[in-house]
Formats: sequence, C-alpha cells, structure tokens
Amino acid sequence: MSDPTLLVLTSLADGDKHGYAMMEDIQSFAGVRLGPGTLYGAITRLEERGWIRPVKSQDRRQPYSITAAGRVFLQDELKQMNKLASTAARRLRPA
Amino acid sequence: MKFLLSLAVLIYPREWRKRYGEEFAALLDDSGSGWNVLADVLIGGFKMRAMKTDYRLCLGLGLAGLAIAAAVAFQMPKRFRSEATVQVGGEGAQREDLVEAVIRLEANTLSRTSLSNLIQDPALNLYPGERARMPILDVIEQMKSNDLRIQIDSSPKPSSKVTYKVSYVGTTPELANRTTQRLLQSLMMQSLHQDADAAPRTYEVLDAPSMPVTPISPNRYMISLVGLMSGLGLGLLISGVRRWPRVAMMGVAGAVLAGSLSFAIPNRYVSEGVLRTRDADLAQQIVGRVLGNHDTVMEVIRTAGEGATLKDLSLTASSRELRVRVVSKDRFAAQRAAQKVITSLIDASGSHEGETEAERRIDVIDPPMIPVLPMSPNRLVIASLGLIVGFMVAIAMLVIRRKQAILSLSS
Repeated sequence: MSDPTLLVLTSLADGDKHGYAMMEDIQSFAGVRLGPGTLYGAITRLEERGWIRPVKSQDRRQPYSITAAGRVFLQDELKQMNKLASTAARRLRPA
Repeated sequence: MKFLLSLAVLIYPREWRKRYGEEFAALLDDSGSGWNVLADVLIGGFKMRAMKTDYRLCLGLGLAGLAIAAAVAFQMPKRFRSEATVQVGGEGAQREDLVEAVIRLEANTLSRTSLSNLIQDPALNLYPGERARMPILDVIEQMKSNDLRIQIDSSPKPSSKVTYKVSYVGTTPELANRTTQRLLQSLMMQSLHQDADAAPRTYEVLDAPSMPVTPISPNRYMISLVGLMSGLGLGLLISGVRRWPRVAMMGVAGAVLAGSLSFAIPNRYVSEGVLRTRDADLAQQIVGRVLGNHDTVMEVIRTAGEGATLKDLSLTASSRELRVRVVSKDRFAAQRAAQKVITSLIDASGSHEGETEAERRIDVIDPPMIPVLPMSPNRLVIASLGLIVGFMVAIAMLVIRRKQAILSLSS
C-alpha cells in the first residue's frame, strides 16, 4: 500500500496527528517515508474532499483528525483490499 | 538548503501558502532538510500548481471555441482557384528582357483603373458585398492581396522563353474561371499595346484557365483546431488572471495608458501615385529635373502642410516606373501634394496636350488617392507594448517582494 491518501487516513484512524507525527507513524507501520511535499499534497486533497479536518491548536504544527466520511471511505477501501487479498491468496493456494 | 527550501515553497499557489504555509514550514523544520526533501517539495509544488489550474474552465472554453469555429467554418463560402499558364518568347530575346516585359504587363493589368473595370464589369459582378460597404480602392487592394496572382516562373535556367501563371480565387468555379479568362485577355491586350514599339514577341497560352473542382478553402479542420486552441488559451489566460490579478491589472493599465497616449501622436497619411515613362533614361531625367527644382520641391512641401519636411516626399525611378509618395498629417494635403509632384513630372517630361498614343512620353498608371486610414501611429502595437511593459513592471515588483519575503524568512 503506497497511496499517500490511504496512508494518511490509516495514520489518523487511531487519533489526531500533525504532519511530522504522521510521517513517523507511516514510516513505522508501512515502512514508507513520505516527503513533506507528498504528505501535504495528500493532506490538501483529503481536506478538500472532507475526509480529514484540522483540529484547533495553538502550535505551529497543525494536527488533523479523520472525519466520519473519511472513515467510511477508508473502510470501503479496506473491504476492496481485503477482497483482493483473499482472492489472490485463494488463487495462489496449491490445488 | 533551508534557503533553497524556502524558495521551493514559493512554487506552491499563493492561496495554498496562505492556508498551509506555516504548518508546512513547521514540518520542514521537524523533518530536516536534504536534496531528497527539496526534490519532494519541488514536485509537490508543481503538482499543486497543476491541481489548481481550472481545467473545467479551460475545457469548457476550448469546447466553446471549437463549436464556434466549426460553425463559422461551415458558414464560410467555399473558394475555388482557376489558373492559366502563359509562355512569352521572342527571337533572340534575353530572359531578363522578357521578365521585364511580363512585370510591365503585370503592373498595367493590376493597375487600379484596370482592376476597377474588371470588378465592376456586370458580366462578372465581383465582390458585390464588399463594394456595398467599402471604397472601391479597398476592394481592389483586397483582391490584389488575397485573390489575384500573376507569378513568373523563377527557373534560373537561361532561356529565351519565360513562363508565368495567372490565377484568381472566386466563390464559384465558374466565376474563378471566367475572371481568370478576363485577366488573361487583359494581359494579351496589354501585350499588344506594349509590344507595338518593341521587338516582336510571342505569347502562347500553355494551359487555358482551369475549371476548378475542389475548393482550396476554407480548411474547416484547421479553423476548428484554431478555435479549440484559442478557447484553451483563453481559459489559461483567465486562470492566470485569477491567480495573478495584480499582474493582469498592471498589464491592462499599461495598455490603456499607452493607447491613450498614442492619441497625442498626430495621424500621418500617405498618398502614392505611379507613372510610367517611355524609357528608363527619360524616367531618370524627369526625376532629376523635378528634384533639382528647388521651387517645385518647396511648393510640394508647403502643400503637404504644417510640419512637412523633405523626408516626407519620396520620388523614385525604377526602370520606366516612377513612384511618388507624400506623407502628411492631413490626408487631403497628402493627396494634393502627390498630385502636384505628378503634374510637375508630366511637365518635366515635355508632354503636351493633344499628343497621340505613339507620341506619349509619360502615363499615369495609378493616380494619387486621398488616403482613408493613417499609416501611423499604429495604436494596436503601442497598446500591446504598453501591455507588455505593464506585465514586466508587475512581475518585477512581484519578484522584488518575494525576494524580500525570502530574506526575512531566512534571517
């Protein structure tokens, strides 16, 4: 899984995070280090679609949280991926 | 590296920087810097620019341009070209002499009088719509520049024969064919007249005026493509104006200012006339006599009106052809002065009233007309220059402001 939007949504699924925290989190669970440009490209798209929203903060670092619509989208994507993964596993199983 | 990163951030759209700039800077501080980070920020910036381009607007205007252009293209009348080929030869004739003879024929055939007769011939009735809304002189100029061609074969081979093509583009195949036939007849009549006192020449019609089958224009696909591209270009322009409104405003302000200032420059009109003498030597002698007469020249300058100088009068001789050109702030004065030069040239040639065709030493091919449009100033060019200067000033101001912002950021 290397789609930055899915990685960001997955990272935010267990709590609010700012940019650098997302970067570290994504690296830890996916082994992918997103660059600042790539990360904020994904954040911009996700916010425009209403799947994440900024959380009030006094810090320069802006935390984000996943919205209900974002959760629905992520669940749909996971179902699709699960279906794909189970189909692939079944077909790879020796007859 | 930090400075380079702050420069790279400037690639992102301004609205994006307003919204995300501070938190993005905080992320850059946290994540550290490096060439890979710089590349990522640059790529992200370019992607963001592309994302912010109003594709729907561009696409919509492009499709609208395509539809309008296609509609216009299908409304445009078809145009057909008819062409004839003529070969001129003569016993012992040199190619240069023959080319010269054809050029003279062309000048006579394309003279205003000759073309005016052709256009207004009831059997052809050329350009009825244009004649209803513009002066006949403009119709003639349009015909000469768009529809009519007399082209000498430019073969460099030494030969005692010269081939030339006569072609005319009309709205129907029949009209194109009939007009080319008439032009050919006119050329033949001119040649008989011209060769009366010259070495005998032969004129052979190699290809009679063709009856065209397929139109040469309009190229509907090309027109539609131009419409599409224009629409897309307009979309990009509007997108650019939205993104950089100050640059656009400065450009428009520059164009309006330059265009307004151009009205302070007085209009200058040019009136031209063409004469032909019996031989080249006579042409040179006449020019020398007229330009050498101080009183005549001063009289012409005075007639040309206030502010006219010697530079505004041009009198040139090329072979047998004499060309008179007078520039003035007053279009009527320009024509009067050019007419005065022509009268002086006729006087200097020794011509007198009642002389026969054979005795005639000088002919007025194109009399000077009262110009309708000024030759200068070109207000469109001046306004365009104002637009470009306005853009450049605005961009320079933008760059200076950004540099100051970068310096304050890095300090």
